[in-house]
Amino acid sequence: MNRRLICFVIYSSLLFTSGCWDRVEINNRAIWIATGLDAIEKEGIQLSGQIIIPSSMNPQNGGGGNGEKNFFLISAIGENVTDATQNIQMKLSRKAFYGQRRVLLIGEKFAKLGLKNQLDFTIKDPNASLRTDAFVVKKGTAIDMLNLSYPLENIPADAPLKEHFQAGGTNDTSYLHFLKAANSKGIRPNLPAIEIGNFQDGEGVGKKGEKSYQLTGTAVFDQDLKLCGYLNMDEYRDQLWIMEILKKRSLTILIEDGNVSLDLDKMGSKVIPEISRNKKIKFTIALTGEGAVIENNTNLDLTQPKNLEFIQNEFNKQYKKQVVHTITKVQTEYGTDIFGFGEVIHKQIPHQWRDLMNDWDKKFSDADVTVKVNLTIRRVGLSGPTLRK
Amino acid sequence: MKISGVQIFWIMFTFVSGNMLITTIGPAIRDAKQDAWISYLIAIIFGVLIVFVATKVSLLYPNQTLIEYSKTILGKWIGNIVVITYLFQWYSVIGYNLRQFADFTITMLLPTTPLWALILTMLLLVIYVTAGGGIEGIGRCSEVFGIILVFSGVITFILAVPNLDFSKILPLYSDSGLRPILKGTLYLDSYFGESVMMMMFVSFMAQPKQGPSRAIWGVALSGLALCASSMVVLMTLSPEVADKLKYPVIDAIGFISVMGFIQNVDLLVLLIWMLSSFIINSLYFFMASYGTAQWLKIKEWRKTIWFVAAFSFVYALIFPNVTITEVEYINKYWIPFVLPVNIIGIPLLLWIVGSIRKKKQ
Repeated sequence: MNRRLICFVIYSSLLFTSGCWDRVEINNRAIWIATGLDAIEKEGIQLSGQIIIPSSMNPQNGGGGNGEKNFFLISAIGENVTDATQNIQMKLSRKAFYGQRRVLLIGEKFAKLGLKNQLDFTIKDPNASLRTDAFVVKKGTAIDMLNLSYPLENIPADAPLKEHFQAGGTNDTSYLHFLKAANSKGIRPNLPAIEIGNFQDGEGVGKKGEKSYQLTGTAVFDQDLKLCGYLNMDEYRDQLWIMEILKKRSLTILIEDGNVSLDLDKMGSKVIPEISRNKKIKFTIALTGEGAVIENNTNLDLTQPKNLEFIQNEFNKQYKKQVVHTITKVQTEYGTDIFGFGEVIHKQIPHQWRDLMNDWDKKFSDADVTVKVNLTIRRVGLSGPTLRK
Repeated sequence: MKISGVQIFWIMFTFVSGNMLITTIGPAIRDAKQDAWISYLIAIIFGVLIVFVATKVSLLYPNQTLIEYSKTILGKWIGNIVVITYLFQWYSVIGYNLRQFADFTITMLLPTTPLWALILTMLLLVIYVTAGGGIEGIGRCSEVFGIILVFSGVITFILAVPNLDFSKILPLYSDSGLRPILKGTLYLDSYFGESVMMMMFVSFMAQPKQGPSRAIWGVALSGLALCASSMVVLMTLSPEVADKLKYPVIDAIGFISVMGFIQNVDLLVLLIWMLSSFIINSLYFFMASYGTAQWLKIKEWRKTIWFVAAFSFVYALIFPNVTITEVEYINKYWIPFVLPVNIIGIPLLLWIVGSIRKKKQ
């Protein structure tokens, strides 16, 4: 009897004593959505965070746009990120929780000083995910950008994330791509760039102060992880196409008396390296794509195979020029291999790579590049002869 | 206490895969970069050979454990030295494993929990299964856990497939060459070699003849599972990023995001690790207490459990933080001492001398 009683007491105590004693209730957490990094002086950094206000997140209130902000911005200065985090915590009543952080914004000045010494924090915290989309804020600071609200998204930091997704870039793996490139010898890192833009273009339209997050291309880094320049959106798409990341894209060309647009939904790329006897490096890039003509503002009747072929060739020619322009721009202006051509040599002819590996950026700039674009028009959509006639 | 062949298979499977999943993939990638998976393949061969030798030795005297037959084979004096070598290894591993469990849990899950609480919890569980069921209890546990392990392993693997990029493990071989791959293998071998513990278990089997084949299957299949996991890590994170991370498998699995709502699957990896950590701890705990009892000729072997428990509790507390020292521990103790002596040398010696003796009879 006594024994049973003891057993009963012990087992029933299990009901009350089990559970995690290291838990932090969601009520005691500040859910940190986006991080911004800015350089203050040579040494110090300014860390800013976008944190959601839970009470404004319930569906009855509706999301953003009703004038009431459902996030707030908090920032502090410190020697490094941990130091700044501690300083932020002094202004924050709840413990910051990074499990939901998907966006990392890096101010232009910070990027120019180099990211080399500040990368550690992003992967050492067991709560922070590697699945992060990192952006460089062109011509601005991260803190200004994080202060914007966005009418469509409850959480404004979702806006750049989704814009990047719509544009078909590296998306939420961009930070992993960056880390990989930062640690490889045959590729230099780049990150998507974003700037503060207006919702409507033109003067006098829209309410004052309505600004938007605008994707604006990509930020190019050199070997020391210092920002050395930008590419615009078209050039960024070219880069993604070459690296076989891009899945969809619209191409538009001008011919004689009008313009035609082609919507690609299948895209491919192949980079073939060639190293001649005298160590001259040559890359042949074969780009392919399939899609439908969705807009045709010319006098050509696309239902005739002859015209279709003409347009197809015109697309190939003009986009070949565009891609060559992009590669030459990177080669001459920045001289850092963001296309990963070095990695292609590394993977395809590894025994040659050992000699080329050192001082690769210079060899990349001197390499010959041939581009072949081979587009196939699969459909002409619903357009018959153009409406203009 | 009798265990079946299937239980031996699951014991080996949970023991090897759980033991190595979190702790070895990082060091293997640091040594062999994108060829780490080749290191695993080579290490499997070694592991299989070790298990083969260990079980064959035990089959010479299927009714005796290592403690008994080492004296039968090598005589009283040398036999005693052999026994002491093994007991020393087992005692040292218990403390290490307990501490590893606690340190890892603190790092990943329970940052403010005191060390002793975690060690004590695990220790109580281990005492419970060992005192209550002995090796039979552990065998049954691993039968159940093994299936959970395979199940969650397969699920995570399927979820990880969309993240895989085959080109990340290129170029094969030419970057690292033979030496780094073998260096990686050495580190892995010291883990695979732990399956030398089969020398203790064969005598508990209902049909000892099944020992070699079942144990070899267990080691080989878990080795292949580990090889696949290392490829998942490499193809998700790329070797450049993976070798900067302490436990890359956690990050690689944490990277899974299917349709934006199946996330944080890395908890499954922690589950696998917890379960097999329990099996590992209880196996060593059982060997240490049963071995001590047999060596000191104590009739009721369960009495030694309390001594081993007290010893390992204190030892785990004073052991330096494992998350910092584990690589040192392997490189300074396991590879130079345990690997050549306990894992390769003694089993081979016992096998050769034992076979000669048997023939003479």
